Amino acid sequence: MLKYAMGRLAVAIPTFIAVLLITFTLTVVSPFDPVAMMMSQFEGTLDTLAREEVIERIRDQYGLNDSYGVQFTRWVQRLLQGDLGISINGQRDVLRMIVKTFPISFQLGLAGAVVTTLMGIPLGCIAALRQNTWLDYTIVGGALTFRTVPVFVLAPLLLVLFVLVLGIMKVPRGWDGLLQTKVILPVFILALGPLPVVVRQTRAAVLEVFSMDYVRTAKMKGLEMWRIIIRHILRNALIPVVTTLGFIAEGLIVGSIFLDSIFAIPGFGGVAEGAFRGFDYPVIMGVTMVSAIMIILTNLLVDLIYPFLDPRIKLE
Amino acid sequence: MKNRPYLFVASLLMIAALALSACAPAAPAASDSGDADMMDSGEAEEMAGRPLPDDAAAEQVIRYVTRDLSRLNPASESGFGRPWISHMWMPFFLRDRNHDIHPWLATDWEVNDDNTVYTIHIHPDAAWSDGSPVVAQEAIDYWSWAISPDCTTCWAFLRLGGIEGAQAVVDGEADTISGLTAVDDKTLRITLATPSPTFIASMAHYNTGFVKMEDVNASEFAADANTRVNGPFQIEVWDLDTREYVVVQNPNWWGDEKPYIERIEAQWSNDENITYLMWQDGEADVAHWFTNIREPLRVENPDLFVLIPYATNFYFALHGAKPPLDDINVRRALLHAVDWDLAISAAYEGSRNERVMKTHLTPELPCFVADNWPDFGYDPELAKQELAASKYGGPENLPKIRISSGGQSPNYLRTAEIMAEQWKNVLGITDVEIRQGWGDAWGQEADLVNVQRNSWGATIPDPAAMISGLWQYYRAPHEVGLEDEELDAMMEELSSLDPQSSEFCEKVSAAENRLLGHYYFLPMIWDLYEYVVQPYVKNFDANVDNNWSTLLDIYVAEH
Repeated sequence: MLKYAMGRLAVAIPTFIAVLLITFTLTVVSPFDPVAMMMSQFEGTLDTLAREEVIERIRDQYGLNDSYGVQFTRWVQRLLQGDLGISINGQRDVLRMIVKTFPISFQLGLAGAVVTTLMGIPLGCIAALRQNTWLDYTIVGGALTFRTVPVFVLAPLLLVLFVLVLGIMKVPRGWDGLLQTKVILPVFILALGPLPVVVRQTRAAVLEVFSMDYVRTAKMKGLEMWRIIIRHILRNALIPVVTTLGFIAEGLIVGSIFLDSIFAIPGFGGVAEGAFRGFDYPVIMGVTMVSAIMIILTNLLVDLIYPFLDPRIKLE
Repeated sequence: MKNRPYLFVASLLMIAALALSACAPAAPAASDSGDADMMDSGEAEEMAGRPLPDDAAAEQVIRYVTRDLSRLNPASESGFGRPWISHMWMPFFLRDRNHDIHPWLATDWEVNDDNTVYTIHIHPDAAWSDGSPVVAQEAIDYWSWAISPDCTTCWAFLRLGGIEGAQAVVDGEADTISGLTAVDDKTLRITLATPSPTFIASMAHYNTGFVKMEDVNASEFAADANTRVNGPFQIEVWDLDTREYVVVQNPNWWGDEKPYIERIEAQWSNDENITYLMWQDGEADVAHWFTNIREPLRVENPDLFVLIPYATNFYFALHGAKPPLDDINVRRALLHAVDWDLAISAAYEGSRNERVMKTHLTPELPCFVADNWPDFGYDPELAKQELAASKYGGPENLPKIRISSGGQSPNYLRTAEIMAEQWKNVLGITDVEIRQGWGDAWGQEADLVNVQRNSWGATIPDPAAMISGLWQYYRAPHEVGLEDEELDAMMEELSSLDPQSSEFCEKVSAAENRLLGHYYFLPMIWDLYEYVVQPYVKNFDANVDNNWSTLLDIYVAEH
């Protein structure tokens, strides 16, 4: 297994380098100027002459007037020393930004994945066992409905309901740790995104397994239904679901851009959103790097876990 | 292990979660637990030495919501940290809403006859929060660093660049600004490279507040709770990573009049819907940067709005060196063919009806004359005559007009579309193309853009500087390429005029009138931003720099 893992990692390195190279090139050749975008907050409050003078000076300070080759060499040299540079927009150390925000997003993403699992698998199972009934349609339709409402619409609507109409909470803001009530709503909304995937995948897998001979045998032996579901159906049906959950968790960790913004959560998604909005390329590079690593590691982890879940599969 | 695959996966996830949880920043104190940290009102009164007004609430806390908050450093502060920065690192003077300058860190100042040497007297009691006295040399040290290349993303050189020897520091050729001298601990002499009767205005700008250099530890210096202040407020926490921003009273402030407000809790909100929710739910006392909700809210309760007296113009600059705008008659025709009141009302959905730009100087600036552009206005017949009188003779011979809307705001784009529509209807001009964004949106055709949306503002409310700055910028050949020797002379004279003199406004108006006569832009709006303030926050006011200029007198009434 170790040999397999090392081999996979070795193959991933060129992919990783290619991702960084493409991202860096796109940011440098892009017509957008991160300094000009940062200075847009001066629009109307500083005369244009002064604004242009400031922009030029800051571009010099960040080496943005240097050639592509010089910029790339400097970036690689810094990267090899563990230095991801300074954010142009926030004038902060990029590595520090990522180190401080990633654990928060990791916890949120993982919590979202757990909630998705806890809601999605039972709902998928019920939908399969009540196939083509109103309950099946309600579960699948309901999950899809929540999925189709964008987060930036759903979150404010739920906040209006809970804060203004029902008056049972204040607007949850910021991050005081995972075990706080203010996390409930963001995690719930986060979990709704991939919920239909889990529901539908579980439903399809359960339906498939339900018609297998060994399930029929278990029924004929007079086993209670809940035992059949847990011991015979779910155990086999969930193999593809569990592997999918890995990718769902990865997506939730790096993809909670809107939630970070709406709930002022100091997470990785907010860092990414700010970087792309302001074309803050040192941060874009850092965010891309971490996301690429996450995807590569998640792929590898899922591959390594698969043989444990399905003994018919061997790593080669 | 083969029999316990799920256990293995669950264990793996749990270990990873625990490991990362350990790396996560420690949970900060929740804002509503602030009670424990705060004094009760009796203690506050005792410390402040200033009795609260009768209607004051027991807790003097302001919850402020804004769009963005950045690092705090007087030399680089750009926008959203401005409300209190002048109350932490005090500039020598402080401006009020009417732009009048009041003593702040300094008691007074003198200037020599030719406006080249300013002498500033620092308040004898001025001290840092650690008790050490504020001395003139500290301003010299910080300013010299603030304009040097060592200070990343700093723009204090805009305020201090006129001091003798400043340019050498900006260029990295000297360490200290030679034109600054500490006559004694409490007296700073500033020698300018060229005479300026308005230099003292820079000394009231938040960019010229200064930090003790021992606290400046990096080129990307950002103040935190350990950074000493010389003003009535200090940082309790200012963490851009965890997005926690709390400012509290400096218990050692040297001033006679202590503030009422004990604590300001700032919150970042990038989503206007959430800001409004917080506002409606009573979770915000002061809010900044409403956009879509601004007008409905203003209609509902105009008294909540405290306008910031900016001097801001938004307009479309016409490039006088690029056909067809090289003919002033075309420029005049384009102006007169548009009903600007109607256009701006439609483009801004009625929110700027009173703010159609009719001159460069805004109503908030000294020397404002409402009708200083007499030809301004909608006159379709005159527009047709002007186009016919141009060297192009009419719309059929007119080269293409390329409009760059400059920025992503739909208001800019809508204004451009309305202009083009009215040119078509009134003048028959059809060869007009609009692109959203700056010149880069045009790619290879960027050099052919002849109408560019732009803005002009003045952080220092000096009308002469604003007018002459515009002239300096737009006479450059790569911009608008204006030429006018008489105006050159008028602008030259403006820079030497004393703003207090009787002829100042007359000369400023004359220069503005002549500048407007070049018809080098199409107007949009004098923009205006505001703070939205709950009625129980008393004595709230703001100056041109976004500072809460009355912060010492602001208090929260019972509500």
